[in-house]
Parts: sequence; structure tokens; C-alpha cells
Amino acid sequence: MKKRKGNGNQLLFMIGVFFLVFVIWNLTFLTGWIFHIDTGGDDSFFSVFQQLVYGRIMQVDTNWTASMFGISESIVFSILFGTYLYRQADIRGVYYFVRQPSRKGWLFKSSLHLFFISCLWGLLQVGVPYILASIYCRMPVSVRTFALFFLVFVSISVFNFFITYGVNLLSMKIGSVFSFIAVYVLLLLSFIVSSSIEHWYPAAYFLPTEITIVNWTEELKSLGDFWRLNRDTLISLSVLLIYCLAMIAAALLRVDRWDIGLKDRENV
Amino acid sequence: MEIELINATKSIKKKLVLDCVNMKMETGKVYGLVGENGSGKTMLLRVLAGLLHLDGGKIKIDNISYDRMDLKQVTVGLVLENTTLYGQLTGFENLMYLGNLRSDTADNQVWDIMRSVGLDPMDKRKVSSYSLGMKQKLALAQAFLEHPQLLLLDEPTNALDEEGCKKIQNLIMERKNEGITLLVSHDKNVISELCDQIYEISDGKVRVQE
Repeated sequence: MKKRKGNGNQLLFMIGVFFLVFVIWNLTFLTGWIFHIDTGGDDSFFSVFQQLVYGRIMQVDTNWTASMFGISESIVFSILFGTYLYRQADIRGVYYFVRQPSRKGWLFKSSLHLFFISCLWGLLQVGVPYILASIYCRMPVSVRTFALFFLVFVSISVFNFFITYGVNLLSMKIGSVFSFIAVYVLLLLSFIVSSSIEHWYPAAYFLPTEITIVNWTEELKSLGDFWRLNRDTLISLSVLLIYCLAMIAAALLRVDRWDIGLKDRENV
Repeated sequence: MEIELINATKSIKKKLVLDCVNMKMETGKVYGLVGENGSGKTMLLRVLAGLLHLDGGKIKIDNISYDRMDLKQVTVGLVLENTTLYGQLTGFENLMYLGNLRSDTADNQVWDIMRSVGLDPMDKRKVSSYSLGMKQKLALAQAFLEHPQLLLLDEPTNALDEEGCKKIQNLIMERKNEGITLLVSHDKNVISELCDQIYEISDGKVRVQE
């Protein structure tokens, strides 16, 4: 019991530390252009919020460079947790795995755990800009703004899980450094393709980065139209969720064939 | 209990490390495995520990065939070279954590095994600050902890002093009748003193040493 309480305190401490880091990170990029935006009202709030979440370095149009800047926290997340599963299954995990009769059970639980961590990170990644934008624009929490927050939070959390889980799975095969590079090269290609499509095609829904290229401000003029106007986002989100489930299913099918603990000095 | 490897084959990065290995082990006996560096000893232990999947061949447990070691059928205790336990935990915490993964492990079980390998259960130091010998003792303690049916020990006396070696050898003999023990060691004295049968591995092929 003592240990659980200790772990809970440690988690709260980590969340507190990361909260402060996120506040500082957001405030750093809040200065400058932000003073050109009129404060007060929904439109200002949406504008500040969107820029904080998706385009930090400068006020940029929606394109792949903005998206890459915008997902800087997602990149940090995948660096911190890109070896979450892999670390358990490398040489440090041999004594754990000889006691693990069901690898599927382990993988399922670890995947859920990683998803939970992705949600916590997403909460900070989206929650801090939401709080700052609310304070800056003197905008009390409303159903509209909260609905926007929720949709962005779910999108970002699923996106973070998708890339980080991908890095983890690929690490089992090619090691953590190469898997990180491979996943980000694929993401970059996806961003470039997404942003270079002049005439939109339904196939764009299948690009995993589509979810990060959303012009929320224009689409949120009234709550009544929220779901209709965000149809594209919801479809992209559903596609991303299907990708995540497919990755988990594929990993569950293969996990019994994984070789555990080979990354050490003596391979033979 | 009887465990049998039948034509077990395993390649790592296209290199054949186990080449149609056949061997049979039964409860109550201590087996030795000897061979040169890189001959496939550790890989064989890993296959038997259920960490590696076989490319070919079968593992029979009490005459039932499996594609890899089924850890639902056999409890395994393992010590491998170059492995570490959780450095941020104390020795006691490490054993409590690992011991509770498979079944409930009581504090006194952990105390007993730590004392029998020569470690102090009250030691509050983190494992990261342990000496090599202490780490080895802790690795041995986790292998013995739950009275496993299959005990796989890779160079168990590495980094141990004379007294430590003696303790571990006694422990192996005390536990002999609880299951199967497979011992990998370069120390010919240890092998000849403890083992009922010795296997020799060379280029991934295993044969009984006369």
C-alpha cells in the first residue's frame, strides 16, 4: 500500500513539474505576435488557443512547417516514451518476462498504460493553452470553448499515442534510434502530402497527420454547427483510432514470436 | 517433470545459433552445459527460458509439444550474464516486485532467500550502488525465489568470492530435488562437482559429454 501511495505522489509530482514546463513553454511563444490580437470574445480565444496548440513559433498559415512546429510537444513525448514498451522487452526485461506466462496480457496492459500516459500528456498539451487563452482573453469557460478543448484534446492524445506506439513497435525490430527516424520521416512525408494537395480527395482522410492540420477558428462559429463543421476532423480522428487499434491488434498477434532481451553485449 | 528439446533450431540475424539441438532433462537432476564463447550456450538458455521463439523444432514438456517454452506449464528461474535488476530499487524491493509477478510472495520468503545467498534484506541501498558480487547474488536470489521447476543458471559463480561460491553450490544441491537445474559454467570444478550429466555445445550443436 505504501508503495502505491508513493507511486501516486511521484505521478502527481511529475504532472506538476510538466505543468510548469508547459506553462513556461507556452508563455515563451505567447509573447510577440500575441499582442496584436484583440483580447476578449470567442474569436480572440479561438485564435490564441489555436496558435498556441498548433503554431508556436510564428503566426503561420496551416501548412506542414506549422504543423511540425505545432507538434513539438508530441515529438518530445515520443522521445520520452518511444521506448516505453521496448525498454521492458530488452535485456532489462528478462527477469520480468520469465515470470510472464501471457505476453498478450502484458502487451495489452502496457498499451493501455501508454494510452493513459498519452492522455495525461494531451491534457497538458491542450489544457495549458486552453487555460492561458482563457486568462489572456478574459474568456470564462463556456460549452463552446470546452467542446473545442475536448475535441483537440482527444485528437492530440490519439495522435501522440499513434506515433509513440509506432516508434515502440518498430524499435523491437530495428532499435529505438532508427525507429524514431523512420516514424518521423514517414510523418514528414505525410505532412508534405497533406499540405500539397490542392484539390482535396477523400484519400486525404487516410493520412495520419490530417488530424493536426485543422483550421478550427473558421469552423467554430456556432455551437449548433459544431459537429457538422468538424465532420472532417471527426472522420480523420476515427481513421487514426482505427490505425491505433490495427497496430495494437497486429502487435498482439505477433507478441509471442518476439525475441526478448537480445540487445546486450553477448548476442550468441 | 521432463523437458525435451527436439531438433530445436534458432537463427539470429541469419546466423544459425542452435542447429537441430536435441536434449532431455528431468526433475531431480543437475545438468551442465559447457562450450566455448559464442557457441550458443546463452541462446539455449534463453530458448529454455521462453524468451526466444524457435525457428524450427519442438519443446516437449511432459510429452506435450510446444513451439516455444510454455511458461504456463513450467515456472522458470533464470540468471543471465550481463543483466541487471532494477537499479532504482533496493534488493528487497526488487525481489518483492519480481516475486509478486507470478504469485504472491511473502516478505519472509524474500528475507530467507536473501540471507541464504549472503545479502542483508535490511540493506537500504539501491541496487545501482551494489558491487558486482552483490548484483550477482541478487540475480541468483531472484532465480531461486519461487522454487522454480526449471532453474537456468549462466555462470552463477561469476564475481563471487570463495564463500559466496560455496553458498551458491550448497543452495543448488539443496534445491536439486525440486526441479531441473541447468548450469552453464567455465569452471570445470563446479560442473564436475554439481552435475549429473554434462552437455557440450559447439557451433550450435549439442552432444552429451562422456
